[in-house]
Amino acid sequence: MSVFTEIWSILSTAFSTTEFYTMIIESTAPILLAALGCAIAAKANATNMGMEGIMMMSALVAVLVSSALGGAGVGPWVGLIAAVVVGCILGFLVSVFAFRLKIDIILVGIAMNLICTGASVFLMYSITGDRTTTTSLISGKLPSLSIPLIKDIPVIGTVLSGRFVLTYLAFILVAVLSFLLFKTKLGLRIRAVGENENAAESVGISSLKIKTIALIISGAFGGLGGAFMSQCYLAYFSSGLIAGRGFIGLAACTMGSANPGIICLCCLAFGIFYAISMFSQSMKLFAISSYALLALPYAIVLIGVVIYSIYTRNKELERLRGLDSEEKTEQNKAVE
Amino acid sequence: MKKLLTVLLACFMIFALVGCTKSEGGQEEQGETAEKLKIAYCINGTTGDKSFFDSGTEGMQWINRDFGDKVEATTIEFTYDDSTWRTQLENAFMSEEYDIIIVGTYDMLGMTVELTAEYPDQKVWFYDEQWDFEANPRENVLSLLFKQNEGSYVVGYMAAMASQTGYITFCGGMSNTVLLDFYAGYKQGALAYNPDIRVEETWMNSFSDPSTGKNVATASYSDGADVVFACGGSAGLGVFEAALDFEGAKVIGVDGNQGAAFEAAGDTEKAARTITSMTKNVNQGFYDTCKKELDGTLEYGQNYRLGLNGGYVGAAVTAATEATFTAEQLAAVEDVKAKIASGEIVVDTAF
Repeated sequence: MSVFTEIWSILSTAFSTTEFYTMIIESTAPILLAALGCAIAAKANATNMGMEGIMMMSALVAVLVSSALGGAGVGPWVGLIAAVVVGCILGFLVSVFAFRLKIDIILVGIAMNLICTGASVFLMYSITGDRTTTTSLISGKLPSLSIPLIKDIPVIGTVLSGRFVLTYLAFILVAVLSFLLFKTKLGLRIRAVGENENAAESVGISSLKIKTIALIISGAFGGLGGAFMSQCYLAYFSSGLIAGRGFIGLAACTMGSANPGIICLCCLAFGIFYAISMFSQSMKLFAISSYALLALPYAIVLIGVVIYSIYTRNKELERLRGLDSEEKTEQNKAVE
Repeated sequence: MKKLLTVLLACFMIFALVGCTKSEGGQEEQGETAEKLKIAYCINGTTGDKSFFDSGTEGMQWINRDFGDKVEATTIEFTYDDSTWRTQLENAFMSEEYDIIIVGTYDMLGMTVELTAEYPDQKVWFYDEQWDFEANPRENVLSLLFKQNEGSYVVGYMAAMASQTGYITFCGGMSNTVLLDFYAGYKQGALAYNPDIRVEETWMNSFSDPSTGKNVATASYSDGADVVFACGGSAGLGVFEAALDFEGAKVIGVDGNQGAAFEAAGDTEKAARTITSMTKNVNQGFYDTCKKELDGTLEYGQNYRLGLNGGYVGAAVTAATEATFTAEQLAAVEDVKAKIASGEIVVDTAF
């Protein structure tokens, strides 16, 4: 009894700070953007492994462009556009190597990550003279947005209002991507190509073109994710800035079976555990080592992926059993 | 078209390679200048971290400036790809090009222990991690240990002085012995000023990801802490970012004078939040050790401990420091420094 009340009292103090909830939202956003980018590529049967590298490169370009324009006023916005453009270009490059030059797409993704890791440091050093962070540049931030009516609601207002522009955009894009995938002609074609390329080709859809478009859009999402890290979350680029968020996005995309809604929930789950791991350290929430706590969100992702793969395997087995029994009944009929 | 793109891809990959290995070219160009004492400062990372490695590189520059006729010091960057560190270090040993190799940190300890046994004629200065001379006796090795606990004691004392809420935290990179040594001094110093103060340790588990630093610090500040000791390379830079979101939040920098660095970069907001920095003057340490080597007074096979006494560690004073503390308070800090240097205060250590 006393143990429960004790745990509850600790939990309630931790969860009563608004920063806890804002951290959930803010740490979810970049992963969500990455996951949505992976999702549209996955729907076209093209795994965008290069998401991490795309994010890194566009994060750097956003900072460089923005600081070149003075870092204030329109600067960060132009930086954001530049980041998206770079993301698109890199997405296009992935598609060129994978589909025109027929290199395995996973290898292209890995190569993309390696190139971007090296090239971003190389560019940063040759342009700014710094090798780790661009703190010597004034690159500015994208503004935070306060929402008129919601901001006046006591607790929820401080959590939901005043977040970064790209945070709102990330969550809006969940709906936009669902619409794009399930309600538009392009979405139908992407899904058709992803399900069965030959069938799509047979009705006159150019699978090459559709896959290229999907990867370009995927790159654009990566660009937004990168710009989020270097222009919203922090106001500079650092070589360790992306820290595996592209890969977590890829995992979230797999867990959410490339469905934007489910992906959003997976990313939120990651965000919740991430925030818990951050907060429980100084609050001494649980008497666990800080290493275990910091690994918690990643462990959750791993467990999620395992559960998902068991689930899909069972479903597949069930489907095969169904086919089997159908065949049998047909045979029985034939015998009769 | 296909060919062009293949060439483009190749060019891109070369980019990546060039980005990684740029510094190695320098070491070969040096050759042929005989009879000078050659020192190679091998860093398991790159310069540009604005603290630790940069400070050591600066030390090399001082050595070249002042003893340029007798010594030739170079910096070799191993980059952050830890899979290549062992090979690169072994290359430095095998080349027999350097009279002295400076290498350090916890990550490099194991391989240096092995290599120094294989190459008993290669002199090595090992810094920033305890070398157990009883278990691994080496006549060719000396170890330079910075007493970060002493500097941390001073900034911990100052943190407790500056705290309004009576709650301060330590935001470390990874909990290795050196970082725990920082924490031990910090905690003791804070408790010495105010025995009732609450000191918590938090870890980022990274030296490179500033977003984690920002989040860990955000959690601390929103929990009521008002001074955070950002102690973790470039990941620690995120702590300064978090401080901007909280009124009255203060940060203590590490390794270099981070407040002055922010001021120099024009980031006045962050400079104002940085009440002090615990400086670890790697440059001074290397410079003085080199001087001893030239004088012939340097003894190998033992640990040198570089502390407040001699100015190897300290607490930086900037405009923000003077704005935060009164003259009497700063005098009290100086008093504490003197007591540590004289041995009157014995600081806890994690070693």
